[in-house]
Amino acid sequence: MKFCAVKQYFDDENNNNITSGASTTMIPLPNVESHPLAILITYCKKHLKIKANNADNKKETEKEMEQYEQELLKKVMPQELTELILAANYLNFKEALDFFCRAVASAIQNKSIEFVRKFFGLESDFELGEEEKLREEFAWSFEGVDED
Amino acid sequence: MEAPTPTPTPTPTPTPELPEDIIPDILKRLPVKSLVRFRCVSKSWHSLITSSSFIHTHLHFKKSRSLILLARYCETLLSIGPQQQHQPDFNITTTTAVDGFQKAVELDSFVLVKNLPYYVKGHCDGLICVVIKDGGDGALVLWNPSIRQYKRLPLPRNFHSTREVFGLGFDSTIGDYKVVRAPSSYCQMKIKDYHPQVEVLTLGSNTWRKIPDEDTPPFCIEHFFQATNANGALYWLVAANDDPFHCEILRFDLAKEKFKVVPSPPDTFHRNVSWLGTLEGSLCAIHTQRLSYVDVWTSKDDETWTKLITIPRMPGPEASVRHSDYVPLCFTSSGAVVIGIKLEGFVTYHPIENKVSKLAVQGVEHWLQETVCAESLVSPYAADEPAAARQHQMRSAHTASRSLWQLILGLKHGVANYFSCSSGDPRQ
Repeated sequence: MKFCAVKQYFDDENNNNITSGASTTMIPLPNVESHPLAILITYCKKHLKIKANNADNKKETEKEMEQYEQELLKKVMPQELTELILAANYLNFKEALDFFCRAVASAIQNKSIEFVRKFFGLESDFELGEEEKLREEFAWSFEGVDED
Repeated sequence: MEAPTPTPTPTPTPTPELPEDIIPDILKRLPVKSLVRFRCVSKSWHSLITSSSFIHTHLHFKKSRSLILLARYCETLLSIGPQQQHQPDFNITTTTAVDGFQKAVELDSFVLVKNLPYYVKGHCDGLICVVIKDGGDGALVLWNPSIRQYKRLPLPRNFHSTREVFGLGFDSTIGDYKVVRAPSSYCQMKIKDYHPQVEVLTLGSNTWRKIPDEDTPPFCIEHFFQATNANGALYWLVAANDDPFHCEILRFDLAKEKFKVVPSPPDTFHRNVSWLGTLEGSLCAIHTQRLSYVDVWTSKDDETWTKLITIPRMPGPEASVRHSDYVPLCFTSSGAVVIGIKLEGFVTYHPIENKVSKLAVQGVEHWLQETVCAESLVSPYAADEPAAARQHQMRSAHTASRSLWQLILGLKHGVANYFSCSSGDPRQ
């Protein structure tokens, strides 16, 4: 099962010997919003489907998944990626977490410090003059950076 | 009449903060240039990116990039590497077969080698060990081209500059890098009172330490060979003692600091091994190249050799003329191997298609040595070395005698080029 957190829930339920109609059990997921959850469920279903279609061919599976991922990214806003990562992390869904981390890395790779701070909700906490010194020492790493 | 109640502006949802342990998972995928810049994002990011655990994670992340460095002896080094095109539309797959190896970039920030004779002696984890003949005592330098930092190491006693043999490797038992000075055949032949000795310097100690005499190997190494670093050891090709026309593979264990001879891969024609290197992190060897194909052998345990790949040589215009050796450099993500051919250029070989094709690399005419190194954040400085010491290092690069020497050699090369004559045997 991909959603390991959910699997854990079922395992715990079995251990407590609670009989439950599996199809109607409500599993509380307090830390996941409905929108990213929907995306993750779709991603998971698609992944399982592609895997089933290309039973022996790992390369084909990878190729098809890559194509699906490209399409998915076109519909997702960069800001939503953070929510998706949090959801995948909470649900312990490794493949999706890996994919969204890759997408974020790609999104920030050539961006400025200011963009990155905004993206992650961070603020500069350097002492006075510390940041300037660093920027001067590594001026070469600021060349060719995308304009905000 | 009541004024209409203004619609309350919805409070913007704050960006959810990612847990601390996810950030390294994202950052480890980034190229070094981005990470160096992101040191300026915040104090915690600075701390993370310079931490040895993150540097290690980034280095060993499976998709880490390789650079092909070309040392040009008296000219600056060139770098050919996977220059990832920035894809604004999130295109994270690279589809080109040669992944950005089409253009060479001049590494002019490494000013120490400008117009001076130098050799790359070894490399490890993105750190390069270079010896430079600078008109003074000579320089022994550790340099990371990806982060553009270099450090001059203290010189061992009786330092014969470019004629010395060095290697660089990582000793995982102490978690530090070691520079190893090994016996040099040039010095053995030409220098009176030369006592071959083996010395080791760890980055943390920054001092040279001799290994016991009984561990000194009965071999000398040619100074123009680079040390190969694999399997926790350094490897060099040496002439056998009982037969100077026969080559052996000499291994130096970095943790145990002991030498031994490793059996060479088998060959039906009993040829010597003529090249040692690494591919995909494993030790590789090639025999003297006289046939129409080149077998690349690999060993993970220094005992059994298996064929990694057989490369057919491209047919040349004159079959009787011996072409330059094929030097396999690295694999691309599409499974092709990039091959350097001195005096000719580059080719790629795709094993599945069984095709050798020319690879045009812009900006390269000639080179003396090729080195394939990882793109890494590894600093040549020990963790506790203060920033002030580093600034002093960079400033002292511009001493008067060095500048004068560089000027003289610069003029000499300018004149030589004008008259189109060679400036002498580079292997001095």
